[in-house]
Amino acid sequence: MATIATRDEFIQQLARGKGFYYPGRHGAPPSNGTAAAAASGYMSCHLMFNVQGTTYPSTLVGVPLPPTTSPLLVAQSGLRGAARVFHWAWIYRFGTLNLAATGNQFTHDHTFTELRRTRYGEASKAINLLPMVMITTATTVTAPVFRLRTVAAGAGYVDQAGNSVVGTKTMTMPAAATAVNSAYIFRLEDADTAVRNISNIEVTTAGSAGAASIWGVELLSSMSPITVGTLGAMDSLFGNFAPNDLQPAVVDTGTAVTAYLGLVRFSSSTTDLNVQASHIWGALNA
Amino acid sequence: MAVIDSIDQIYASIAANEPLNRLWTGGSTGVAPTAGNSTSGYSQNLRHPSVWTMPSVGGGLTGMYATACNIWCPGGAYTAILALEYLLGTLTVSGNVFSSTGAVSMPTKPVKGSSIVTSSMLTFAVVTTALTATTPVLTTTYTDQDGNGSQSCVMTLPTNPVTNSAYRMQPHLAAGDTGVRAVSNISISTGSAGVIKIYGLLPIQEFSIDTTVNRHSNLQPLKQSRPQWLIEPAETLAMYFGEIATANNQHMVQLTGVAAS
Repeated sequence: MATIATRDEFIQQLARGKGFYYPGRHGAPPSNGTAAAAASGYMSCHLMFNVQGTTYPSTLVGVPLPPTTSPLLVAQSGLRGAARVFHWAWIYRFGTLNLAATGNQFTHDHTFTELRRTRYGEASKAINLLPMVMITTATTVTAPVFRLRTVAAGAGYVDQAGNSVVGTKTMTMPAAATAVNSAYIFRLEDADTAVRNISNIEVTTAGSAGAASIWGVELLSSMSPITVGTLGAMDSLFGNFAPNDLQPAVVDTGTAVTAYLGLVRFSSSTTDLNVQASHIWGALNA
Repeated sequence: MAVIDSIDQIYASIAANEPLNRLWTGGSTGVAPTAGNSTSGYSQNLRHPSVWTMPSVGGGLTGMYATACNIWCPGGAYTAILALEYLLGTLTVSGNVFSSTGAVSMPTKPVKGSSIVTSSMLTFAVVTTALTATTPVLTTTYTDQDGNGSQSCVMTLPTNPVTNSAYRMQPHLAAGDTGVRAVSNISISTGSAGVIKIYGLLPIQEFSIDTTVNRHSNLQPLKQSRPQWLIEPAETLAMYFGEIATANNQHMVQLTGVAAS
């Protein structure tokens, strides 16, 4: 068939086996992390890369898609877990940050300037991402402080409108000993809501030890279990009109971006960290 | 009949035919499945050996649509799926012998007013007799979702997987493929004992099993944005547990459905 035009066709594609059906479980990081504070983005987050055997933060394995590059439109996603806000998301890796020394300490993994996908009929349209930092080596002695710029006041990120921005707001890790796997949302300049890329990070106060990985998160579908143990679901087919594509965005230039399909959890607390049962399915739009 | 197209039609069917209510249990196998890895479906799944067979139906009826389904388990942290299950092929490891005895192709089903040649939404390689084999390479030759034959799915299974271990095949299908209609051959690179069966699934209901309480699903079949499957007489329903590390997979299932004409 051609691309999906009706909800019935969506269901029929799934019936033909032309889709993706994933029942699984998302392994949470092995530590709760350190709770966020106002100077570290307010929200305590967890990047949940999933699948059994994952060893955070060194070995990450996202949800495996079937071997097709055609669009896979999300029909439904669900999750059983604690009463927190969860999103299915593509989690793109920008690079790494050394928190044990001051100066320009960000190393970008790739050469892309932005990630793109087809949106509203426009092919290769830049996507906007939620910028996040995840501690990969616990900090010690001093809480690191960093900001999205260079020492020489060069730009640190590209905002949602494509502007290069010199960040002035600092991120202060919430404790001298900020735990591994803690994740936080970057503080952006006023009026900015997302990034297309991160290019530079200046560490102004270093810990004796500490390292982080830097991520851009593309939210796909939200779920919020009401109470512990209930199965919350987002019906993208009948519940709204925006079934996102499960295929990852692509780089505008250079090597493919390191990316994981997984879950992101947002909370005001780091407690109640446990494994999340989940499911997601989508239909091949081709 | 589009019996699930409206609540009124469900009530009308119940008034005319009575609903079908079934409660069945599956005792614990006492053994956790052998976990898969990046070459064998990524996850740790178990097919429970206790299955349920749809009974015969009255004249003028074709089967049942599930309207409610609940599960009780002793606790744990895993997912579960109740699904229509179709045997697509069998491999006896000793002698590397493929058999199609009892096997079928995925069925043709009515879906949203059309007759659809289905392919599996989930396909599992299930160890039905424990393997004696060191990291065996399992090669399944299949017909894909578009009807193309001679496609290959290659997986490297863990060493000596225990009985009831199930390995998800979709990540390892041939490039461009998403489903399986039929299996024409299965072979293994090494091993001296064991049996592997390939099953194609059409999901009826998803469940999540909580860590602390015996939990039933609060998502019912009619609420799902995927096909509502006509369950026809003599078809098999099976329970698959996902990401289950516990040896206790005891469960009880309650299924309610209405007749379709």
